[in-house]
Amino acid sequence: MLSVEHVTKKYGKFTALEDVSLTFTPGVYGLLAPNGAGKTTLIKMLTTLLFPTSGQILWNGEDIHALDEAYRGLLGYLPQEFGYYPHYSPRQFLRYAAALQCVPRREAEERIESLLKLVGLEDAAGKKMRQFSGGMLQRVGIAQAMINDPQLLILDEPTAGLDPRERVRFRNLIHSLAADRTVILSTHIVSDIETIAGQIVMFRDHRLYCCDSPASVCSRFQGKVFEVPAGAALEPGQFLLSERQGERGPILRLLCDAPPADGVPVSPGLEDAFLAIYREGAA
Amino acid sequence: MSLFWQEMKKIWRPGILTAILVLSGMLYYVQSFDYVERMMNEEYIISFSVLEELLQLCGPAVDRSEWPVLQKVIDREKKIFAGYLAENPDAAAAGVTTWEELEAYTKESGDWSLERWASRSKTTNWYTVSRLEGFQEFCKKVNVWSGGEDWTFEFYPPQWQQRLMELEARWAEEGKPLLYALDTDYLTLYFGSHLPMTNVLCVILLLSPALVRDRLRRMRSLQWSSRRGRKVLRTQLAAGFASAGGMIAANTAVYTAIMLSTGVRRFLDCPISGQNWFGWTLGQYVLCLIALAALMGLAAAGLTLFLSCHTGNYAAMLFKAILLHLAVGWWFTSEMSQLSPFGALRPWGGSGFIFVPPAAVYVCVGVLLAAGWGLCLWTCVRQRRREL
Amino acid sequence: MTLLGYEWRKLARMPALWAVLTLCAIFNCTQMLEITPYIDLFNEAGEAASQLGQRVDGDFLTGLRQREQTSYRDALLEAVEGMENVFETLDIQVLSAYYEKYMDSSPLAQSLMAWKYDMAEEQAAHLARTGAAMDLYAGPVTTQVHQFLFGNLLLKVLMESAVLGMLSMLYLLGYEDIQRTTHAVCAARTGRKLWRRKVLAGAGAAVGLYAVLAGSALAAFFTVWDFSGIWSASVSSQFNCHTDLLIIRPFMTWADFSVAGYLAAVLLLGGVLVIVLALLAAVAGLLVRNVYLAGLVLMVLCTSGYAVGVALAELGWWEVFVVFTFNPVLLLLEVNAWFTEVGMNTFIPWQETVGTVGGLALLSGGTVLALRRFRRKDVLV
Repeated sequence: MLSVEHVTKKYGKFTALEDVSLTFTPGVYGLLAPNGAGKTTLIKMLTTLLFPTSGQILWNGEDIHALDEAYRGLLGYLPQEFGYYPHYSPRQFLRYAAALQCVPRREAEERIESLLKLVGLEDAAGKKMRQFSGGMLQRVGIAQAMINDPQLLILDEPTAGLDPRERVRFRNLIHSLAADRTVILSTHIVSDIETIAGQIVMFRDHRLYCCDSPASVCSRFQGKVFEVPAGAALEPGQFLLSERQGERGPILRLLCDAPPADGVPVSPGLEDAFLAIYREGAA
Repeated sequence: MSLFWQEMKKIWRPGILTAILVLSGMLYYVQSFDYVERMMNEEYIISFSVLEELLQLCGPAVDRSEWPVLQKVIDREKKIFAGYLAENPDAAAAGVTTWEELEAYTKESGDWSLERWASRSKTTNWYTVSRLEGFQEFCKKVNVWSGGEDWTFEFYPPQWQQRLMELEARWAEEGKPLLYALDTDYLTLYFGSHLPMTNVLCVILLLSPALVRDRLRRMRSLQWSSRRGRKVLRTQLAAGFASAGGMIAANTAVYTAIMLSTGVRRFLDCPISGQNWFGWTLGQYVLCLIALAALMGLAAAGLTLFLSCHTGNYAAMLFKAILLHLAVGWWFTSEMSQLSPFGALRPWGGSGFIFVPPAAVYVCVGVLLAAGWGLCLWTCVRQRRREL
Repeated sequence: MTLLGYEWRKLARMPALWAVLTLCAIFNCTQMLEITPYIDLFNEAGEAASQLGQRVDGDFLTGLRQREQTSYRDALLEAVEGMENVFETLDIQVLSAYYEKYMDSSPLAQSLMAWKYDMAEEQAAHLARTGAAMDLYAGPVTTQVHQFLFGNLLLKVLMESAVLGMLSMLYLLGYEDIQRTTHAVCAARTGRKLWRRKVLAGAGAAVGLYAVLAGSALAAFFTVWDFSGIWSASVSSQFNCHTDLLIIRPFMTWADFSVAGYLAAVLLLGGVLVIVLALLAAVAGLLVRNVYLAGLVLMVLCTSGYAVGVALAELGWWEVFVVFTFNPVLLLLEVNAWFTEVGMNTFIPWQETVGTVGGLALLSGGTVLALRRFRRKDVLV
């Protein structure tokens, strides 16, 4: 179990995260917040790249910095900007990752083969990575994050730049990996975690906003989301969430306490909740 | 262990190795071809067979009782030289038939063409006669220091003046070292200046991109979050130093192999001349120079790795590498080669000299080594609290 | 700001460049300690020349004898009394014969050398008529001071400028790869044409760096060494010589140069040579996309510019050597004797000028071709 206890991170006068407390148990957690909210800061603290200004992060009750390599040995991390050596093939790169994780050579070779198969790169295992597409590189990134069979898997913006097919593939992969480990997924693409995350962690104003199931997050806006045809002016108390194309023309999705004229109530989705929580002027 | 070899593989890149091979080869050719040509072609230096003959007849030192033997050999060599002169029509036209006549002719007429012919040509024993005569003159000089015949004597501190006189007394008893006749200046230049310069250059070129690459390729987050964590740097530095060691060993092997293939190897057990306080043989002296060259290379390795760790792109690292090479590979090595493991008089204050004791060269190299390795150690310590 | 300005700004924001530039400037200034022993005699000669003019004739000698008696004045008097117009009796063919014998395995090299020295003989006759040899310049320390200024100080300035210029060029060409902005830049309106600006900016930067280094070095030098009485002297004064293959010969230029004119000519040609080497870096940087490897390639090329010449001379491959002497590195190394017959390393009059201009043309063409190739290459990383 990973617990974050009253963690604050400051850079001089700027506070990136304030008094965040969380507990992560086996399952999939989605860190959902706009850019600059502090997701990557938290992730970097979980992966020991940054040190909290105050508070502590514990793994099974022990400080992760005190645990040192014992903690990092059970951690798998895919950074937001995944670095790689362009002249390496995936196999060579995974061997290097295995060496970094102190995986014995024989075991590493077996794991590399199975991981290449898992991420669908067995045919490209010997090709130089400079020839890879973005999706293929991300798959290598996931494979290297799994090289040590981690108990804690942290993926920072793993689907950025992937096409829809790759993203579906990725979601299926995460689903299969999440059975017996803690997976923390950081993203601002709502649809990616809507289906796979058991818990959503949201930040606002550099503080923890909520840590709840997707259904609970959405239920806060039950009865407050309506669809109206485009063209009607917004009235006070109404907030535009999004717009979509209907059969008879554009349709607006609004957030409001009272039903608008010609408004049709709809079930709020996670994207609606995201837009509602992070709308400008929200309390 | 596996990560260590992975890091070694990252350092020993084919393109870089090819460039190092070509550069060091050219450097060797330009700096050392003169040495090798002289050492390999005995016509450009004292004949090794003549020197060996003297070694067998007189031993490693020539005392007063052995001067007639030396004179006999000189006379014989002069007779051989006269034979070469007889075959040269220009010499005949100038009426020069003997060594002495050549000296007199050159001095009086100012015409150096015959001297140039004799010293350039591969068919005369000019160098042999010249070095033997020089050695003979050296043998005949007694009380140079105790008798005040050397004007630089006053620049030595009192305890070193005493040691010079003790050395002179020992020479008077045991005889003057035969290796005075062998021009060890070239050897000192070869091992004392060229080898460290090549070591430093090769090490700098090999290690410069080593840690820049990781920063450029944004690998650090991956490395620092792995089980090894920030300690990856230790493995990388270890691989760097091991690579430097390998490069230095390769350079040293090449230089030493070439030296050993010349006639010089026959005299490695002979004591060298000069201010040989420690009674070293030529072989020990060469080993000392090799060790100093190796240490300078390792010092350069430390400094390069430190700079590489703190540089974000190759162009900036090239700037630093060139500066480092100029400072360490060129200036420092040339200064050290002039200091000498036996101490040396260095120009000071216009027309004077200052005596730099033997320890100085070891201290200077030691300080550079400590600086390089110390900076790496500091980087490792600082790494623990660095954030990404 | 123009695109060119942006490129210079990128360069200016590299701390390593300023650190190295400063260290080079300081190092150049410290070099002047080497010739401080000659300053007193130099000052004596300079003051005498300011007072009496540069031409050593009867009036000069009379005036010199009337100057305050000091050991330096006596030394100067001893040096100038009995001066003769050495170009009247100079036998150039001795030099020609010496080099021809050196290159006896190549009729081409011999004939070129002979032709060069025939031209030199004509120039010697001209100098004999003008009496250039009778100029004082800096008296008995002329060679030391002249060789220090041109063969030591300016040589170092040129080498530093060339190295900094080449590295700056590589940095600019590789900048977008470092910052991962290649895709965005190549897809913009300017696109790959930006690399044309980069080459221009790199060449401009090289000249700028050269100006800074030369300016600082010369400013320091002329602050200590007062040339006010010496600028008008002919560099072909008999007190000025240079050496090649251990043979000392008079400093005989292909045209009449005063010290000021010679300095200006050397500085100008030096600037062009720095551009030539910067363009060499441009070609390397455009063809070899990895900045470090491109740097190594340049190191190999520049080192071979000297080492291969040595090897060719050793092996006696004189035909190839003739062509090889036109390479910019070898030309740079001969800066101490530019615009003279130089010696073994030149085969035609004004070879350093012809070589530099030819190199500029060749490498400009090479850069254009490399840029054209770059425009057609895929942007992968």
